[in-house]
Order: sequence, then structure tokens, then C-alpha cells
Amino acid sequence: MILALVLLLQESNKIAQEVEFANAKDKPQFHVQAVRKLRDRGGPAVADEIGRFVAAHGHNALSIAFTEGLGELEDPRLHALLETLVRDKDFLWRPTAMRALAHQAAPGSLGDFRKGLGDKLWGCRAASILALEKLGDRESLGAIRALLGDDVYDVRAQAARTLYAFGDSSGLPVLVEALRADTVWFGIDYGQIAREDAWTFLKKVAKDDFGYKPWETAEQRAPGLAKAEAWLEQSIPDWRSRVPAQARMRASSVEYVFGFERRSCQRGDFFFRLDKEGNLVVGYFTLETAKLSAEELRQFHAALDKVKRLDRSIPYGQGGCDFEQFYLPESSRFDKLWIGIQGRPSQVEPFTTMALDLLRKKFGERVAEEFRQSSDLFRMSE
Amino acid sequence: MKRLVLLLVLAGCSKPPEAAPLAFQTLGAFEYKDKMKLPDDVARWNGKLVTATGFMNPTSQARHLTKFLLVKDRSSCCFGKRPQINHFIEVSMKPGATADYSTDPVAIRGVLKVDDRWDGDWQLGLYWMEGAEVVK
Repeated sequence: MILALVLLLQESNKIAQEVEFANAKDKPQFHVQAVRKLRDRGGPAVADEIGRFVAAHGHNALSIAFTEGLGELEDPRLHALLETLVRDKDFLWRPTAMRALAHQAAPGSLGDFRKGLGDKLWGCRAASILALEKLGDRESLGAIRALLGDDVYDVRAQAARTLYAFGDSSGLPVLVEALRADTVWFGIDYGQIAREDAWTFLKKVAKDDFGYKPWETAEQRAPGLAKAEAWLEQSIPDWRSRVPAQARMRASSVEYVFGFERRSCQRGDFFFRLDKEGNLVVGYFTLETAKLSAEELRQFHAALDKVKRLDRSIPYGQGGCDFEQFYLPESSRFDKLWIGIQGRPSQVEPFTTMALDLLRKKFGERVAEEFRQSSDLFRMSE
Repeated sequence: MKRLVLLLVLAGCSKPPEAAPLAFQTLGAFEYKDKMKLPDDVARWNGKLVTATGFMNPTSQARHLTKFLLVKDRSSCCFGKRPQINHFIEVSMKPGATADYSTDPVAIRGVLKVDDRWDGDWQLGLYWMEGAEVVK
């Protein structure tokens, strides 16, 4: 009896350690192995311990690897925890929680997935589409079709793939159009990421790779692109007119003189840049452009000059996956100024205020609100 | 003439040893199974002075880091697949040296130890770099 109790206690201590290590901020190399141990172990004792850990430390003590792993642990309490995490607007890893919930694809979560189609985080929208596909939810087809015109490529592409799984080819024009993607963000070729993704799916559907190679230059890709377009034209002759406005690729071969990038696990990403012609350009894959007046440009540069005076050789604020980055021209290249949570120096605040006003004036309240909602995270702590 | 040769030899000796460029892909290209014998093209790097280029895994501390994990790609932290144990190098800076966090690729120079270290049931890591310095 005593021996059995000792063994039980040892087992319980091991589980507690595994949960702790799966979420240890200073031991990321333990995350994957701890999640694997918990998954292999399974059972109600694991769910008990996770419940205790969350009650003691809160949602944001959970690591991204652990959140992802929750999807593979079958227990009604952990399923309920995932639903709570998805609904917690302040939880760091909501898109990951949504993916984990999508992995389980439980009919009881249908409401969360339908609601998730309108989530402000694109990762949640994309995961929700996938979950609704798994659930065979034909009632959501209209809402999924609407997401073929989403601002973010990943959401449009998931919508296209899901519609195809339902026997609906209306998303294929979005994918063929993506073979033209050429958006580059200061050295990161997002266009290639989109091209590779679209091509990988299309070549399976067409059973032909079109001789297209997403990593080649635009000139080299041209014959393969023509072949892919001709293939789609056979089944959807007017496919070009069916590509939603937001999904149409626009030439982005302009030269940029400034870039602002905000990446936030908590609140989502936001990008804008200024081109050589004095246009303010907002967006990630799909770019929106607005011409700045001479006075607006003067104000922009006046605020930016204060930012440029900061020492860019050091990062400001806390490290992590929430940061603002300024791309500042320095002779023939771009220098970066990196600002983490609660690290924005006071010299940057006038630029942030100016940018918010300009975004509101040029692109409307929705874009301004998107910029504003994550801005406070970076304000210098008192 | 002899003196000249001696001077040339001495000058050669005082030059710091060349660090071999280490491709992170080599270290992470195999599927690791617990306590397996590591592939020869990985084990051969043990004890070598190398320059490894990768991305710093972010922690809440952004400045004056004396230790950090170097991972092979930018998305390892937050946006992509979880890094496996053979995707990390645990870097300890040389005494007195520190590093600041950056989202750019960083090149780190130091002696690589390929050593499958465990603490009981827990694997501590496979790749270690001690006395390291940031070279880019």
C-alpha cells in the first residue's frame, strides 16, 4: 500500500516536472521533448496537472510548443482549456490554440470556428477554415468563399484549398494569380513563399508542375506561368475576372526609402513603407498605396529624423516575438532599429503619433485601428 | 636569411587559427532518435573551431546576453515549426563578452562540442559552443 502510494507520488512529480519543462521560458530545448512525454503518457493525471499549472500561472505562462501539443492530448478538460485559450483575446498564442483546436475538429467547437473566420488574427482565420473543412461544414461555404478576398495570402490560399476539398474550384484563380506574387520586404521574399505554396497545391490538382519553378526569376518563370494560366482557362475561361481585388498581384518593383514592421504574437502584424515617389504603402502581401502631399512628407521626415538619431546598434525593450522594427536608409543599405515590448524610446513617440494620424487620413479608421491596437505594448514602461 | 624565415614562421604562429564555416543544415539534417549514434558528418565537427551562422532564439532579455540558443532558421521561435534538439546550438560567450539580440542572422565563432548530454530522462542538448564571440 505504502509502496503504491510512493510510486503514485513519484509519477505525479514526474508529470508536474514535464508540464513545467514544456513551458519553461529559459529551457526552450525541453519544450518538444516534454510535450512528447506528456502525449505518450496521456490520461487524466496529465489533464489534472495541466489544470493546476494554468490555475497557478495563467494562460500566458504556456509556451507555443505546449499550446500546439494540447491538440494531441485527448481529454475533455484540455479541449475546454483550448476553447478558453482561443477566446482569451490577451493569450499570446491564439492562432496556435486555434490550430490545436482545429486538429481536434470537435463538432462542439463549430461555433468557435465559424466565429474564427472573422478573427482579427490571420492565423486564427486560416485555422478556422481548415477546421470547418474537417467538420464538413457546408453552411460556412459562403463565408469561406468571401475569404478568397482576404488581405493575407495564407487565408486566401487556405480558403481556396478548403473550397476545392468541398468540390468547389472557385478558389483556383486565387492560387494561379499567386504564381505572380513578387512582394519583397527588405530582403525577405514573401512573394516566393506564396508562389511555392500555391504551386505545391496546383501541381497536385493539375497533375502537372507546368515546368514552373517558384524560386526562379520572373523571366524564367514566365513560360511555366503561361502554362498554368492556360490550364485554368480550360475549366474557367473568365478566371482573371474572378480574382478578388485584394488577391490581385500588383507590381511592387518600386524602390523603398523607409520601412516599418511590427510583428506581434499577441496582436498581429502591421507593415508600412514609404517609396521613392513619396507614396505610403501599407500591407503584407497585398499592398495599398496612398500618395503623400509635400507637407505630409515633410512631417513624416521630420518625425523620422528624431528616430534616426537613436543608437541603432542596441535593441530596446524586452526580447521576444513582439517587436517593432524600423528600416532606415544608411548609404546603400538599410539599418534596423529594433524595439521590443515596453522599450520604445520617447524620441520615437512623435513618429508613432504622426503615423497613426497619417494612416487614419489616408487609409481610414480600420487600418488606423489595426496599427493602434498593438502600439501600447511597446510604449516605454514608467 | 635564416632570421627572416624564423620571423615568417613566428608571424604565421601568432595568427589566430582559421575557423571553419559550419553549415547549420548539416547539424539538423537528420532525424534524431534518443541516444542514437550521431552521423559521421555531424560527429566530425566535435572540437573544431567553427563559425556558425543562425538566428538567436529570443528570450525576454534582449541585451548583454552571456548565453543564448542559436537556431537554424528565423521562424523557429514563433511563427513556424518547433525546433528539434538538433536544431539548437547552446552558445556561451567568452568571459567578458556579451551579445545583444538581433532578428538578423548572426555569425558566431567558437569551438563546437558535439555531445549528447542528458540529465536523467532529460536531454540537455547536442551542440554546444563555448568561449564564443559574435563575428558579424
